[in-house]
Amino acid sequence: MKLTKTTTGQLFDRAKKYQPQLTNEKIVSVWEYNLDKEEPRGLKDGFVIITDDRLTVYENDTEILSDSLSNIKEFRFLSGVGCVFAECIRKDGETVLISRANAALKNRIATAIKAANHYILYGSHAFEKYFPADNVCPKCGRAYRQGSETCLNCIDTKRMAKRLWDVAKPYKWLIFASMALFVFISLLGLVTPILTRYLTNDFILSDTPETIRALDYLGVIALILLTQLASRGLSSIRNWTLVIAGNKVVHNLRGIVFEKIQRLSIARISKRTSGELMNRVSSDTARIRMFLVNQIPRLLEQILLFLVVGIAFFVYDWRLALLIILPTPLIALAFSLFRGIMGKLFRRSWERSAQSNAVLHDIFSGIRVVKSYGTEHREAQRFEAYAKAEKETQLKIETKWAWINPLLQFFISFGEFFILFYVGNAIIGGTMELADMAMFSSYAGMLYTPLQFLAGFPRQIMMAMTSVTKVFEIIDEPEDIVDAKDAKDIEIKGEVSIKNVSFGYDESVDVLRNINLDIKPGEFIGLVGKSGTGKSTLINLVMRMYEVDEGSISIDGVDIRDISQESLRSQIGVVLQETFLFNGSIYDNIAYAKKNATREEVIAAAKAAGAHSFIIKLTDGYDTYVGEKGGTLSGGERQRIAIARALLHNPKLLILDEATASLDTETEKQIQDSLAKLSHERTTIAIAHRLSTLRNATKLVVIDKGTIAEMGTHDELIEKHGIYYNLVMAQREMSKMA
Amino acid sequence: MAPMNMMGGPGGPQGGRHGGGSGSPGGPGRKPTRENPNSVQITKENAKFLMKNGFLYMSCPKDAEPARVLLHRDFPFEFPFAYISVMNTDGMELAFIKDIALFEGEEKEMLVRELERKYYSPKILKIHSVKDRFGFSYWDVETPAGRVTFTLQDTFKSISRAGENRLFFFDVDGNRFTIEDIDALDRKSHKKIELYL
Repeated sequence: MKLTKTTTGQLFDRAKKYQPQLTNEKIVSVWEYNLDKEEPRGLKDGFVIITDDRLTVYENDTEILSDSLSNIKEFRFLSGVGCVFAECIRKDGETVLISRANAALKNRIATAIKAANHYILYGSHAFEKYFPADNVCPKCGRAYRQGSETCLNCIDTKRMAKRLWDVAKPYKWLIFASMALFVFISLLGLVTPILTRYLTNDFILSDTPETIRALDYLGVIALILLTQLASRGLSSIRNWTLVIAGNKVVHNLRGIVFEKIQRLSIARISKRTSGELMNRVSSDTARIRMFLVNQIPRLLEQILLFLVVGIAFFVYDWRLALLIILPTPLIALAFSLFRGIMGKLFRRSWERSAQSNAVLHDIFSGIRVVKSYGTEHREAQRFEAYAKAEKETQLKIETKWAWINPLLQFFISFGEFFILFYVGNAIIGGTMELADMAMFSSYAGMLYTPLQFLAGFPRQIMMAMTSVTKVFEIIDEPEDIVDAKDAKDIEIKGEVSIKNVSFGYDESVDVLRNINLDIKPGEFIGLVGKSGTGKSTLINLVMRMYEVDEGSISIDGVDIRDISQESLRSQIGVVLQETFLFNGSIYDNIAYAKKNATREEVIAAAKAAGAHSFIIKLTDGYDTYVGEKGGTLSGGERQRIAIARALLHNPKLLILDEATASLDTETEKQIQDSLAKLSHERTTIAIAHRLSTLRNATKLVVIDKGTIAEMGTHDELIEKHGIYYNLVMAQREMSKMA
Repeated sequence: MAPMNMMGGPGGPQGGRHGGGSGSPGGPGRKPTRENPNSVQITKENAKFLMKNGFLYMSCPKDAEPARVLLHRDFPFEFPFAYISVMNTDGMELAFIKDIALFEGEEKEMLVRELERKYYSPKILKIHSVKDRFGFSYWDVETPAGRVTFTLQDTFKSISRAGENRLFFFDVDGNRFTIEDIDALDRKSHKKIELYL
């Protein structure tokens, strides 16, 4: 089964192999497929070529289908499960199955079909436009992570390291200082064993009269004390420089990442969950700090220590040095093996604990449901099952650890056996003294610690580089909605013109198709239609939250792509069905869009939104604190605050997406009326399912299956007896029942 | 350019279980469909299936004009051949098959093939290697269709267990793979998968 992906050039070459007279200009669309159309598990090497006059399908290099393009009404993409289909609908009404492929080719085929349909609809080639950027790494052919365009497998570590250094550069002196201190402290650590040896050899085991040596003796002790003191003191200073450097680096990096995320379009942001974004801003940057200011200096320290101690050994006695160095590869191997085993176990344990945490979170956030269905006991058992699984994994780790750890310790102390053997022999032979033994033992320990550290370091690098990549991935993410170079700030009057607009959130599905709509200043447009037909999408496009795929949207005759985003959005007021209140007072929340709003303005906006009456009933009035979830406010109250927020800066274009849906009809009417009073000066686009909400609308637009199905005033549409008429009748039925 | 969705549900390009990732407000891509009060339970007594142009058509009642239909598993993990919704191309349920066994002979075969054609999920017979890097795992496996490599993102969440011994894999592209019985795997393969259970 072929899972690899072919480039556009390769596809074109293959097409020309089948049809030698073909030129690139004639190709409308091509795609390959890999499954048999009929036989569920059958494989096929299939190839589809659509030129400006013909559709031809080849299977295992044989032509199996050929049809004139003029016979075809449209191509269709169907997704199965784990596979995708392509079919075409002929003008005579027949539907023909063209291809079946596994899901790896899904995006390719979906976009190839779009290109083909584009040609049938507009008569122009669009293959390059639709042909998707591959979601596989060109180097290794592995798929990118969702929402990412960087291959973790092929990270250019050098380049990443350089970029990392760019972030750390402003604090290089602090980092250098920490490094120097690290080195100095470890060198001080070398001194103690020497002094101890001196102490043992020249005093404790010496037969010289004590009286003469007492002062010297105290002197050596004092020296040991001093090195210890210096070492501790310097450690404190080093920790201080580390903290400062670390915090500065992470602060800098977080700032960059956060600012970047703010600039990204909704389309890019919503590819990732907010939890993931939070991770990037907090955990990943923290890990990078750890790497930069703790691990890198420690690495240098350990390498240096290893070299110094190693050289000292060689200088002192090369045979002994060899004896100690010889088992090091073995030790390094033991360590990496151990890490492999334990690493997997730890990962599993981490997954398990994440699972039981998720269950906890689930139960607690659904506690009302649990209580009202009386399922406390069952939920307790569910949690118990997960807790047990976690316990078992933990137990497994502990048991393994209990076995492995002593073994590892044995390996670490391996060198000491050699020392015991070699130095012991030397002492008996009289070439060494007892004190040497203690010193060599300490040094051997010092030699193996860096090894332990170095054995684990590749993993640290990998972890750090993962974080670095993830962070830079955000920083490097292209901003798909950017201001044009000559973007204008305009004073919006409120004329909106939507021309031939098509749009889809992803390649396979068009949500809106060929929308045309002209809105005059001061008009109140009501968008009507079933849920999921594309109404919200249309207003998202007007706000330029997404870029249109086809056509254009202009305001006062200026394409919105030529208007600066700040100028555009600051003059549009938006109220969505899902209101969001920030942590802060009601005043803060209403004044959100206009920071210097006077109290009078805020009150006026609140009155227009029908919020004033309930706010003044609150003990703390406009200073009432509302949290993220709106605290004690009801859904309708929060919505009225959101409406006040939108009205505050008196926008020339007001967008209401089911803004009054959670209000009772009485309150809704109040707000409608106050909005109507102001509406002659502003253009309003409102979406509502409750049709009475739109009674003030000057024009109603019925959207169905992504296109405008009907347009006109209430009376015109009623007369038409179409979709709108049916909706009105259905709602009348409902209210009669009530 | 109206795309159809055989899944009758969300079908972002990512497919697989994380398919919701194409996330956008209001969940576009999901076509709203009305409940059909006239959806009927069908057996060989009141419905007839036939293949035309490589598509499945249904007549219900039997003398009605055949119409193209799509099959959908209501419980794809537990009951691959029972609880099947028969939908029209707009995704509205026209009929419901409680069990494929209610049909027989050629018709039953037709239904089974149609389901297996839509739900493509090669069986994993043997695991050659699993490599874990940066939270991704790269699998090299043997299937009846030959040797296949695929990638899982967030490995633990991309493997799901149905029943005691069945496993489903959801790869980054939206492909699915199955292990019918973990215990039937050879020892080496079993060891490789063990960690992810």
